[in-house]
Amino acid sequence: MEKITNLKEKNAILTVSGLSKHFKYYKTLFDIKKNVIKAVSNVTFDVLINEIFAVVGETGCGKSTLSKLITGLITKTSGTVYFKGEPLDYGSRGRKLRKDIQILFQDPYSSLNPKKKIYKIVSYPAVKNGIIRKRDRVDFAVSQLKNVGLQENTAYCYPHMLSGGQRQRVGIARCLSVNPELLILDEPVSALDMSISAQILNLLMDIQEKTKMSYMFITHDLKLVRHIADRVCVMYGGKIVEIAGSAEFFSMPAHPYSNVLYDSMMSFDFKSKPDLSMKSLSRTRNEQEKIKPVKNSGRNIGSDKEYTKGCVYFDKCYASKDICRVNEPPMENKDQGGNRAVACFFPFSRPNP
Amino acid sequence: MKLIKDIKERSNVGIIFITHDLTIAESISDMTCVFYAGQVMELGKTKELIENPIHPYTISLIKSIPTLSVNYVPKQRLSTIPGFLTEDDFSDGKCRFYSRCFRSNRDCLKNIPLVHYDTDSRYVRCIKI
Ligand SMILES: Nc1ncnc2c1ncn2[C@@H]1O[C@H](COP(=O)(O)OP(=O)(O)OP(=O)(O)O)[C@@H](O)[C@H]1O
Ligand code: SF4
Ligand code: SF4
Ligand SMILES: [Mg+2]
Repeated sequence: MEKITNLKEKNAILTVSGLSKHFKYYKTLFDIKKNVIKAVSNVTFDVLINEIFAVVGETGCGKSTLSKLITGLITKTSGTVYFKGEPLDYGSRGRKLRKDIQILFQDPYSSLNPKKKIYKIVSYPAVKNGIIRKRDRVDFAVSQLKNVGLQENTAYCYPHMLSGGQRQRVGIARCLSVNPELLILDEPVSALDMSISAQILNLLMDIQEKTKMSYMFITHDLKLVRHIADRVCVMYGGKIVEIAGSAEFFSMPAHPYSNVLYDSMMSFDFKSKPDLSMKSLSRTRNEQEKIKPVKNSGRNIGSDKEYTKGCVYFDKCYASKDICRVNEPPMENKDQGGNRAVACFFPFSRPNP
Repeated sequence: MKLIKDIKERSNVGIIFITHDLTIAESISDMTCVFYAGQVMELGKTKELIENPIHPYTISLIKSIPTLSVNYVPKQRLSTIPGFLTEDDFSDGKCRFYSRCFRSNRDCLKNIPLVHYDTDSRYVRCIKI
């Protein structure tokens, strides 16, 4: 595997190239042939230095699988992940690289070892990576906990004694303890109530501003994407269908699926608040192109269906034409600014003035 | 969500939908009951409750949610409710939101009953409304 050399130009901390993961499984006990789920299929993108890169898509579209592939928690089927231009191999040298890429999981209730006191949990990666000596770990943990707004006595608690928000702070402290350069956040706030979620988001943004690290922020909530992200990547059925700068994306999602997602999120946004009645201003689409609500049949997403031909979104797309059935749309730049790539033959675009 | 709405429209059943996301509550419900520390803090018609929250807890909750509105400025710090719910908050003898309330004072250190507010079917558990 070759190094990536034009890094300066790209300014990328993480480059994912043609990454795939196929799960094989038996559908029923009596199946002879294994079925294949293409949970992640030929995914390519960059996360830039000091950037918050959001990955969004509905349940089962492969977001968590993608994050586990990058961190080496599961083995890839094909493709390459580059960290600062170096291909990651998750074997012998894996540990050093994994120190630079940390992952925070969604569920603060199950992601912390219930039998260990917090100071052990927080200091474990640092001890293991030889950053601190074992006997310094209490002091170390306390200082790390303070960084995320927790009190000293938290260090001696067990996870079950803490609230969800506190546990997620512990998880963040553990990730930060080894000074990573990339933090993967897999739905970091979706298990928390709204006010606590706001606290955690503020904390994450403060940390990012201070440390200039990069985040890959995985979520299914576009409101959070809008709030936090610099760039947005939309996944559907294990594939990326749109990557765009946040401002570009929210002024006009281009892929039909992005639009459905956006509209369904709009219906979960405050409608009563007066300043929210401006929706029409933000869209330039014609009235007759009004989007149907998202038909959510999670079963055949990223699933046993073989997407060998055609567009992943063909089955549900309201804009599809015959060509979409036979040809797979390539990821193409659709903006003059080059800040948007879409995998669709007929994306929405701004009407020419 | 769509399924639940369909069921509601087609049959006569009442649905109690429990969520921590007020935006979902708004899209799905007619009445909303805001719960905190085992007590109802505010109860009312969903639309009115969100347009015009009265209880400090409801106000703080609504302020903490990012939105998709075009006027929304990304990357600002979200407004939060300081602290978190602890076991002490469940004790009787004071307003259960006391420790985190932006409007609290000494008067709140007594039991606060759920009171009827002027519009019909709006109840609020706060003495400073
Ligand atoms: N170990 C596994 N074996 C078989 N199939 C799997 C396995 N892990 C995930 N899958 C399948 O891969 C697909 C993608 O799963 P993944 O967990 O990545 O989705 P996700 O986007 O994170 O969803 P969510 O939003 O619910 O977290 C799903 O269809 C899932 O059933
Ligand atoms: S390529 Fe065709 S089927 Fe696929 S999203 Fe675009 S219009 Fe729809
Ligand atoms: S009674 Fe006092 S503490 Fe309780 S919500 Fe009202 S103002 Fe806040
Ligand atoms: Mg997931």
